[in-house]
Amino acid sequence: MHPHRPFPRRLALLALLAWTAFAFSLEFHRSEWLLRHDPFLEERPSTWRITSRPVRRMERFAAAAKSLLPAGSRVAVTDEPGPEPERFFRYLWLIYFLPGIETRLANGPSPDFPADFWIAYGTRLEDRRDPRLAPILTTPEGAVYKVLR
Amino acid sequence: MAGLAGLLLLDVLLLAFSLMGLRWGLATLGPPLLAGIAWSLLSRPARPAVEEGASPPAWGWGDAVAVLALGVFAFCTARSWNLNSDFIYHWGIKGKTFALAHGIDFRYLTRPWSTHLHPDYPNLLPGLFALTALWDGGFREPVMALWSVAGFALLLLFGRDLLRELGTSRFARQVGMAVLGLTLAMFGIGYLLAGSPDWLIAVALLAAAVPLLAPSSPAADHRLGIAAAIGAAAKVEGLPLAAFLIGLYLLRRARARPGWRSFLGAALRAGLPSLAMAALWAWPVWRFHLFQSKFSGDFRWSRLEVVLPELGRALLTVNWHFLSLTLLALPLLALDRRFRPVVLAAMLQLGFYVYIYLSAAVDTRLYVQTGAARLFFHLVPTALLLLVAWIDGVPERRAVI
Repeated sequence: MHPHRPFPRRLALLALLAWTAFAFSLEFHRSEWLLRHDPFLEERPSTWRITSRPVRRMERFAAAAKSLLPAGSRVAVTDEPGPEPERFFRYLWLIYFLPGIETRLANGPSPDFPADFWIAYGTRLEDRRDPRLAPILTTPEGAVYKVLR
Repeated sequence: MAGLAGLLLLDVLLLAFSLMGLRWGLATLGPPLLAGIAWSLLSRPARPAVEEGASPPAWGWGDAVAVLALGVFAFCTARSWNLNSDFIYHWGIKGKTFALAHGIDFRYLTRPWSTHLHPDYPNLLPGLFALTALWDGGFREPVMALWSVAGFALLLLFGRDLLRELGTSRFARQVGMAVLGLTLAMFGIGYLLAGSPDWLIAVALLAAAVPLLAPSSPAADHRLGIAAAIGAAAKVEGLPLAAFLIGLYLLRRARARPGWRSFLGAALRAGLPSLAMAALWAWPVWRFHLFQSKFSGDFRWSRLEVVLPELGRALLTVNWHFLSLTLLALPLLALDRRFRPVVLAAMLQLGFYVYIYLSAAVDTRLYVQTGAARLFFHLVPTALLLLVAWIDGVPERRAVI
């Protein structure tokens, strides 16, 4: 023991170290559990992680969609109905996988909306029966439509 | 410190190229980067800010624990366990876009529907992501997040420096390093900080701690200047931190060594890097009208009744495991003259966060809930080391402010 350090000081330092080590192991264990069990719900994009299954599905869809969208095209995005914050977070995840594409969030097709393409994620636009929209990609996750002029 | 200075010069270069319309690429960036590296290797190493002849302390078990924690964090980062959500919403998408544009895409930032991207934030980190992607041949999240591993490593290095500067016992130094490493890994993994710029703000404060406490010298002026500028270049909240660090450093220096000529030299060395980074941030923000006014509303004391309880809850955020409560010890630590300049810098920065919470024209409760625990990360590493030194009871060596 260091001759100049009173025992209570060493004890306090050791207690701090022990607590930190415990907290670290707890966080590591929790992180590993979350990765293994992937409890992040499809309808809660605000909680998603990049390793989550919904994200992997979205990434695959976005890769397929991106190959159909010419650079510089204007794309409107609409997604499945739900609480507003979660809709916006889903949109943010989607545009992360669509870099270089000019995207905007929209509630649904509108003649005034300046878009060359529409992406419907987790929903479809067919039931709106808009003759100006031609589907160019349809997957279980979503669809891409070209605006006919 | 040379690496941090190089990072600042790279940031200047990236911004200058973007403003001049030059594409980032091997042909354009290669020659100045190679020249910078060659100059760095050939130039005389800067004198250390600590006393001449002081040798680095021997490695011990605490250092080993810290490096092990760094390894665990790097492992989690490499597997994307802990990728920051703002990396997706903000920093990462900017980096991807800049990589595609081979430069800072100001047109993309100016779009009215891009406000969630914080277009008025400094672009150091997205620039580094873009450059890494161009170098790597693609945008891979684990590779981008390695910048956070670098931030972790820098915090360990500067933490070791601080404990040495404070003259702590060998035992306390080892405990301090182990506690620092474990805390960084704990919060970095649990609160998902991989790919976040918050590491750089924490680095700025911890790197500035040694020159704030050491005897003033031109080397200390430079070190403080670079540390503060890293904060200024990283995020908007780093700009006030830089101002606090420089102000406290110069105040302390003026009291220790009167004389306006030497003071002017110190002020230039300590202040110019941050001033340059602030100007380089402000110029495109002004030119492209990127400033977002929603974070600067009317100051209202009445918001305290929301802010204080929420800050209390943020301190008790589960991922902090009560270690954030170290911040409550700052006033106590400020009573000790040995720590005072660093503690004052941390307290001023904390005060700035409270000021913003009392001013921002957004949902105050949500604003505190979504940001405060992360903002504490800027200050906790430094505060923890000071607490370790305080418990250790280091001998008083010099009088400061």
